[in-house]
Amino acid sequence: MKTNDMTKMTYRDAIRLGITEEMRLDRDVIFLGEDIGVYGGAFGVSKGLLEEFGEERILDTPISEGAIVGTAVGAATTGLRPVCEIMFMDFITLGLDALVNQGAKMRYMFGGQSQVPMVLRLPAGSGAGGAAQHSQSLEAWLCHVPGLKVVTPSTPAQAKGLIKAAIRDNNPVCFIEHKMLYDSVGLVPLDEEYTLEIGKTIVERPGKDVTIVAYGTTLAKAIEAADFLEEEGIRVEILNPLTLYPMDMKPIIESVIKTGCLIVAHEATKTGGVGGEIVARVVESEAFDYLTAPIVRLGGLDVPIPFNQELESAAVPQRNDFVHSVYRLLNRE
Amino acid sequence: MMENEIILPKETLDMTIENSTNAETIKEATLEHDQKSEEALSEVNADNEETGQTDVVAGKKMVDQEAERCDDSQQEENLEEKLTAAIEELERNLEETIKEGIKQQPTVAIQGIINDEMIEDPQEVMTESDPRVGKVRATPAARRIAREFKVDIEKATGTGPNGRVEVDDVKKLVVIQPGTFDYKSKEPVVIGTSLDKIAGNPRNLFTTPGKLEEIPVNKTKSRKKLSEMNQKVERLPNPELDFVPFVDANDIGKEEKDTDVVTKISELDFVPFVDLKAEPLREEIIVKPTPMHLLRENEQEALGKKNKKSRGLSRKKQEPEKNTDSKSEKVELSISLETADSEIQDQSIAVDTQNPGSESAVVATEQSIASNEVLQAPAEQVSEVAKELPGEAEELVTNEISRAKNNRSHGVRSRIIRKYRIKCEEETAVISLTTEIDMTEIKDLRKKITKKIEEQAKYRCTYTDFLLLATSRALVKHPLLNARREDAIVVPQDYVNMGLTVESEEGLIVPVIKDTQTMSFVEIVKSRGDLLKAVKNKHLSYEQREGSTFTISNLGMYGIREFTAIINPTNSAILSVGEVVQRIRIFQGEPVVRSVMKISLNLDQRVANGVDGAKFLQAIKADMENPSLLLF
Repeated sequence: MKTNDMTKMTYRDAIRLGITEEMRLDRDVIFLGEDIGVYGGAFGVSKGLLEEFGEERILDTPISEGAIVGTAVGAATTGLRPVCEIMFMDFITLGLDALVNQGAKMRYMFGGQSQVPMVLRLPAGSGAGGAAQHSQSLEAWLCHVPGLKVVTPSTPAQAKGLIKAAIRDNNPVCFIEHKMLYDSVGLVPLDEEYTLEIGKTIVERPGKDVTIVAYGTTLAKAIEAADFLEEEGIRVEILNPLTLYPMDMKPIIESVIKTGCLIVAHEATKTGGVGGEIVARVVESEAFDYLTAPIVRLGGLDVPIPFNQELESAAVPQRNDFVHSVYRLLNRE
Repeated sequence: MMENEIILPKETLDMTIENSTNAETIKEATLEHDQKSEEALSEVNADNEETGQTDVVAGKKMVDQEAERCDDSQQEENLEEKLTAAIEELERNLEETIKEGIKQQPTVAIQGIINDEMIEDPQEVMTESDPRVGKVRATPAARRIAREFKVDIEKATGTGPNGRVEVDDVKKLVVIQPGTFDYKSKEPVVIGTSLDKIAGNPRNLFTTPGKLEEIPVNKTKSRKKLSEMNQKVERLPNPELDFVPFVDANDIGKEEKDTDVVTKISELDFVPFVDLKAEPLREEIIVKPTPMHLLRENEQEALGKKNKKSRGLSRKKQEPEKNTDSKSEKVELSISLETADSEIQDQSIAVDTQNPGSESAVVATEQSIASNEVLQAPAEQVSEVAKELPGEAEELVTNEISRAKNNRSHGVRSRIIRKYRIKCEEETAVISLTTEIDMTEIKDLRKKITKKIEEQAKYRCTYTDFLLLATSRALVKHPLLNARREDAIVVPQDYVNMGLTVESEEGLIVPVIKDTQTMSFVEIVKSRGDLLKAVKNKHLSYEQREGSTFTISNLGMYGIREFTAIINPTNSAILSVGEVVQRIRIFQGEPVVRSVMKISLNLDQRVANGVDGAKFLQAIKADMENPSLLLF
C-alpha cells in the first residue's frame, strides 16, 4: 500500500508498525524474545503480534539470551529473517558469542555464500531508575565488531524507517532503542515502503555556529539546548548519525568545516565511547584545519548508572551541559 | 641513588658548531681522574650558559664516573654547591628565555645519578621545563588561515582562553595590524588588500600562469589607465568639464557646477575613478584616513587659498611624466548605457591624447616646487612607517606613495570616494549593468543544430545553454566576477560552477553545474537537462546544491523583459536574463525585425568595478551575437 499519509504515534507503536508491516510482507520474518508473546514485551512493543501472526512466528523464549541470539543466527543462516528482542541491552553480554563470533563473521568467512539477515532489538539507556544492570548503553562494543551494523533511531519516524531497513538488510543489525523514547510521539509515514537507508547521517537542525552530534535521548536534550541558545542568537547545527556503524562521516565533517566547533554527545560512558571515534575521524579529516576550538565530548560519567534518580541524571549529559559547552566553545562564558 | 633528568634550555642558537668540541672536551675529561671529572661537570654547568647543549652520552658517562668516584664528603658538598648554582643559573636563563619569547626552545637532557639529598625537590626542576614554553597556542583554523595568507602566527596576539590565537586574531594580521597605527594620527595606514594576499595564495592560483599574475598586474594597470582617463577628460575643450577634477573642495561656488557635470557623465562613470581595489575587501576593517586623503589635505593646507588656475598648472606639470610612462597613445573611454527600444542612449567619449611633449613646456615652476614640497612631507612619514615594517610592507608603502602621487590632483574624486566609503560601511553596494543582445544569429543556429543536439544530449537546447557557454567563457576571462565568497573574503576561482536559479517545490533554489568552463555545448545541454530533471524529481544531491561561483537567473519564460536579481551571498555577481522578443532594430543600415534579449549584471562593487562588469557583458554579447566566435 503506497500512501503519503502520516499519523501521530509513539516510538513504541512505530517500531511495532514497522515489524508488523514487514511480517505481513515477508512470511520469513519471525520474532522471538522473552515475554514478547502473551505478555506483549517488557516495554509493550510486541502487543497484539501474537494474535495476528500466531505462535509459529512470535516465539516466547526461555530466559536465555544465549539461546535467543544463537537461535536467531541459525535461523537467519537457514533462510529466515529473525527479529530478536533482548529485554534490556545489558543482557546482550550473554548472547555475544553467537553474535560476535558466529553471526558477524559467517557471511565473510563463507565468502558470501551464507547470509545472516537478523535484527537484534536492544532497549538501552538510563532514566527509568533501572539501576546499573538495566541502564547501560553498550553500543560502542557492538560498533567494534566488523560485520555488525548498529543503528539507533531517535524519533518514531526514524524508528519505523530503520527497523524496516534493518529487517530487509542481509546482515546482522543491532537496533538500539532508547527506553525513555518509547512514549515520545511524532509523525510517522504510513507508507509500507518507507525505509531509511542504513549508513546515513542526517542534519536534524541546521545552524552555523556550533555542530552537535548526538543520538537517542541525548539528541532530544541537544535540541532543547539549541532552542534555548537560539534565543540568544546562537545557531546550533545538530546532526544525528542514525547508523553508528558504519557511520556516515561526510555530513559531520562538512558541518564542522562550516562551524569550526564540534560537540559530540552520548549517554554511554565517555571512555571508549562512540564519540571518541567520531572525534578522531573529524580530526583526521580536512575538518581539522577548520577547527576554531578544542572539540568537546559529552558522555556518561565512568560510573555504573546509579539507582538514585538524582544521581542517575547527574551521570549522563543534560541540557545544561550542552548550553555550557556551547558557551565555552564560543568564548562566551 | 636515583636517576634524575635535568633539562637544560639552550640559550643561543649560534653555538652549534662549538658543541662538538665542547662534547669532546667533556669526553676527554671523563677519562681522567675524579678531580678532573668534577671540573668537567662544573664546566658543563658553566658552559650551559653559553652553549646549553652537551653530548648526552658523554654527560651520562661523566656523571656515572662521577658518582662512583665521589666518596669524599667534601666533594659532595662541592658538587651540591655547584649544582644549586647551576640550577639557579638555569632558572634565570629560563625566565629570560620566556621573557624573550624565543620559540621552539631546544632542550638538552643530562641524565645523572645524583643523591636524593643533593636535589631536595627534583620535581621543581621538572616543572621549570614546561613544554609549552615558546609555543604558540592557536586553533587549527587560525593556523590554516595563517598558513594560507602567509602570516606569521607567532605575531598574532591571542584573545582566546589562555591567550589562544583565534581565527579573528590572525585575520587582523592579514589585512592590518590594529594598534600599530593610531588612526587619528596623520600617519598613513598601510593597507594590504585581500586581493594581494589571494594572488599570493597558491591555492587560489589560476590555471594559466598568465592569468595568475594578472590580478596584481591588472590592478596597477587599471589604476594607471584610470589616471590616464582622468587626464583625457581634463583635456576636453569643454571648460566646465575641464575643471571637474580640479575643483577645490573648499570652493562652494564651483561645487555646484562640478556636480552638474558629474550627473552628466552619469554615475557609472565614477565607478572606475573610485579606487575600489584599494579598499579592503573585508567589511570589518574600514580605515578612515588613507594616504590619499592625507596627501590631499596636506596639499590643501600648503596651497592655502591659491586659485584654481595655478593649481591646474601645477597639475599639468605631472602630465608628461605619466604620458611617457604609458605607451598607449589613445585611450577610449566608452560608457554604454543600454536601454530599451527608442530610449537607446550610447554615450561614448573618445579622446585622442595630444603629444605630451608640447604640453610639458607649460609648467608653472613655483607651484610645482611648492607641491613637491607638500608631497615630500607625507612621503617622509610613510617611509618612517616603512622602517618599522618588514620588506614586503615597505613595498606596499612605496606603492601607496606612488599612488598618492598619481591621485593627488583629483580633489573631487576623493570626495566621491568618501561617499562610497560610507556606503560600504552601511551596506553592500551593488552595480547594475544592462545590455541588449541580438539573438537572431543564435536563433538561426539553434534551429540548425537543435535536432543534432537532441540526438546527442537527449535534451532540447535552449537559449540558456548558449548563454551558459558564453558566460562560462567570459568568466574565465574575468575571474573577479567568478568568485567564491567566504564571509567577507572573496576568492576568485579558475573553474566555473554555474548556479541556475530554478523554481522548485521547495521554492527558489540554485542548483549548480560544475566546471562549465571545460564543457562543450552538448555537455552543457546535457548537464543542464540532468540538473533540471533532478530538481523535478527531487533528487538533487548535496554537491548539486553547493559551490556556485556565478549565478544566472532567467525569468524570460514569464515574459519578464529586464530585471536585476540579488547577488547570491557566495558569489560576487549575478546575471539576470530577460525574454527574447522581436523588435525593430537598425541592422546594416536598414530597420529590420530582430530577436533581442536583455541581460543585466548585478555585481558587488567591493569586488569589481563597473568597467570589469561592462567588459564582462561585452564579452558575452560578442559571443552571443556572433556565435561563430564560440568556436574559438
